[in-house]
Amino acid sequence: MAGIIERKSILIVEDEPFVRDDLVDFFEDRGLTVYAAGNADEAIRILQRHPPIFAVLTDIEMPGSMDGMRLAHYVRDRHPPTLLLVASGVVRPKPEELPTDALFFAKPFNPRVLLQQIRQA
Amino acid sequence: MHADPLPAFLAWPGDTARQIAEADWEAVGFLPPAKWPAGLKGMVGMMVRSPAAMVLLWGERGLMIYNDAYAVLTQGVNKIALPVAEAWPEIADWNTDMLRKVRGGHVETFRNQRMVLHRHGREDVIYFDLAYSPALDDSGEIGGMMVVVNEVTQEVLQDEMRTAAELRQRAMLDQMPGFAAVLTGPDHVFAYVNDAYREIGGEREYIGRPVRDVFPELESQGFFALLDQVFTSGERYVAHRIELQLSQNKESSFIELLYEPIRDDSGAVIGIFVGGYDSTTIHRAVANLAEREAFLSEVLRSSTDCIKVLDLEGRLTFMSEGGQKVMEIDDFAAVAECPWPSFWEGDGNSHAKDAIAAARAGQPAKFIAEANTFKGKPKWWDVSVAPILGPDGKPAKILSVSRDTTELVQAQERQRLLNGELGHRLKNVLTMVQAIASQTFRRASSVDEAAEAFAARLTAFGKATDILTATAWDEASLKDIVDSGLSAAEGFKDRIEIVGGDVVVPGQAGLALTLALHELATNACKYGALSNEDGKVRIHWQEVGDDNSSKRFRFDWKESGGPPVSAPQRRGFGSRMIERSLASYFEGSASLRFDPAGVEFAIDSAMPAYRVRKG
Repeated sequence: MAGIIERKSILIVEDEPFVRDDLVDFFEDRGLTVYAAGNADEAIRILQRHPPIFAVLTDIEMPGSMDGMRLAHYVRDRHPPTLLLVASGVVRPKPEELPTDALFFAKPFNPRVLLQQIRQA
Repeated sequence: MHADPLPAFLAWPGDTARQIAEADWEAVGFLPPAKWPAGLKGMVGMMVRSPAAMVLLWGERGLMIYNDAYAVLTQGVNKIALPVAEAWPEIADWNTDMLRKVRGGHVETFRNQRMVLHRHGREDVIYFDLAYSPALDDSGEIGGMMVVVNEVTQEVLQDEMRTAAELRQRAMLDQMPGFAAVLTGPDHVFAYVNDAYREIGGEREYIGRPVRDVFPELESQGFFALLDQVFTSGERYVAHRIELQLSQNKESSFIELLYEPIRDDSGAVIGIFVGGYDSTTIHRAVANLAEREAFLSEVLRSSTDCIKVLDLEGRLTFMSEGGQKVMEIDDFAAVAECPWPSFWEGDGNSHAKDAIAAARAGQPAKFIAEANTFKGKPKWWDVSVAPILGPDGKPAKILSVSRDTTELVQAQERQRLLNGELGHRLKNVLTMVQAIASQTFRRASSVDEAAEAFAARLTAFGKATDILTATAWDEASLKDIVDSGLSAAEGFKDRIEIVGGDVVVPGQAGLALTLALHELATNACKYGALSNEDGKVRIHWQEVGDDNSSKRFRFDWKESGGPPVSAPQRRGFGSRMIERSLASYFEGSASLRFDPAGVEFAIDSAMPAYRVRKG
């Protein structure tokens, strides 16, 4: 599996460093190219600087000028094919609140389920 | 014959004088009037001239000689010269008896003597006052009987009627439900008491005894002074619901009382009529009613519920005193007649209208809504509305009870927020635990070792959450964080030096630091300064820099005196945690150095959030 096909990439947007770092480890261990950001502004800078990122996983609750939900909509607008994975331990958004084709995960979630979504996509 | 002049003693213009003169006296064996003895002439002469009814029964047979006034009794029938037994056969026995007695020298008088006379085929009952006396002849012997007759039928009948009326009145008095008595004289002697009086006064000897003797216990209760006053002044006395304590009763009674003076024909007071009735039951009922009313109004006043009565249109007609207080209404008149739903806005307004419609239909209703008090203070009300049924069983009015439930609603709201917040925290904690677990097991060399390390990390993490719970997860005291992070080195307190001021760090950073310190302490106990007999650990933190913009926070962990340190072959949980995550948490650098003289760990942070607690 490895080698010939290009590795899928994921941007993890999570303000809790320990949780973010653990997710980075998890996806790196499973062969993905992983980017990490602690808020939406950092995430947008990374998206602008790097080749198209396959998936964006973002927490909804985040400090800064933009929360995870707005970030998700931004990504859907600017990078339409991106696989959007939205997570929250606080709210459970209605489907119409989410960007098209975004998937919602209630925290704490099982990262293996996310991995499966990324691999199938 | 008719032309004959009348004897002088009969010369009187009346029928009977002529009849006497013209009667056939010889036929009854007596002399004609002209030859009568002088004494008889004198008596008859006087008689015919008298306006008083008189009859002279002369001789043994009592020959009738009477005057005009007496003739009224015969009603036009001429009975002159007839023997009395023939003249009045219906009372012959009476007259024979009288003749015998009077001729024997007796005088007889009768009052109101009842007689039945046959006149014109009728039997007339007639009452007489009668006086029978002997009439002497010229020789001084008793020659006849003079009867003075006074008919008193009219008077007697009137008396009888009067008596009958009195009897009827008395029967009425006797039987009437009120009490009545008649007292006579200045000493108020009982002349009469009716049945009701005896019932109230009890079995006592009344008639003929003064009221003071009959009711000695009333002396001190003022009744006798009142009787004296009525008797002296002649003025009526009336009292309502006056208290009366009789010796035979345990409790006092209440009576309605009338003292009415009784006067004689001259107007002088001769007695007192006592009348009235027992109003104890009424008095008690009124007293009970008043007591009940006072109780109910006290209940209404005390209740902190706003109790209102509305008419069927929903207009306010009553509001309890306590209710006016909670509604902040100073004067009920300001809101009386106002439609109740107008006190509500939004949801409350439609709830109130629905509740009134339901009550009108006989159904109770409940709702909770927000409304301002009269002075504009917003409050939540728990409202219960119900119909008040009229005598016909249909809703006549509407009862509305509003309870100020603001505090409860606010508490529920706080509870709801807290529950939500607690849920978020729980999920955050679980997410952290998940990360701790995955970091622990990620590169574990054995499951047992990893399980043990995981349990120890959870314990440290748990201690840190205790600290955060106390500050609502906002921040943590660095001293407390250090204490909980060092729980793995519990037995080495004397070998760990802690130097630092009273500083607080953000909650999440505190959690991470606890985990890092736990790793350092565990490592020191296993391999570092705390693994031999005399190694030491120094923990030190301080603020460096002068002005606010250049201020930095520094945290140091330095081991010394332990066995020589060599860098581990692989970076484990601790080192990754320290090098990566802590740097992020503290927005600065975090470094771990495996100096052969001892492990050194340092945080150099530009984070502005550090605050030194004053005092």
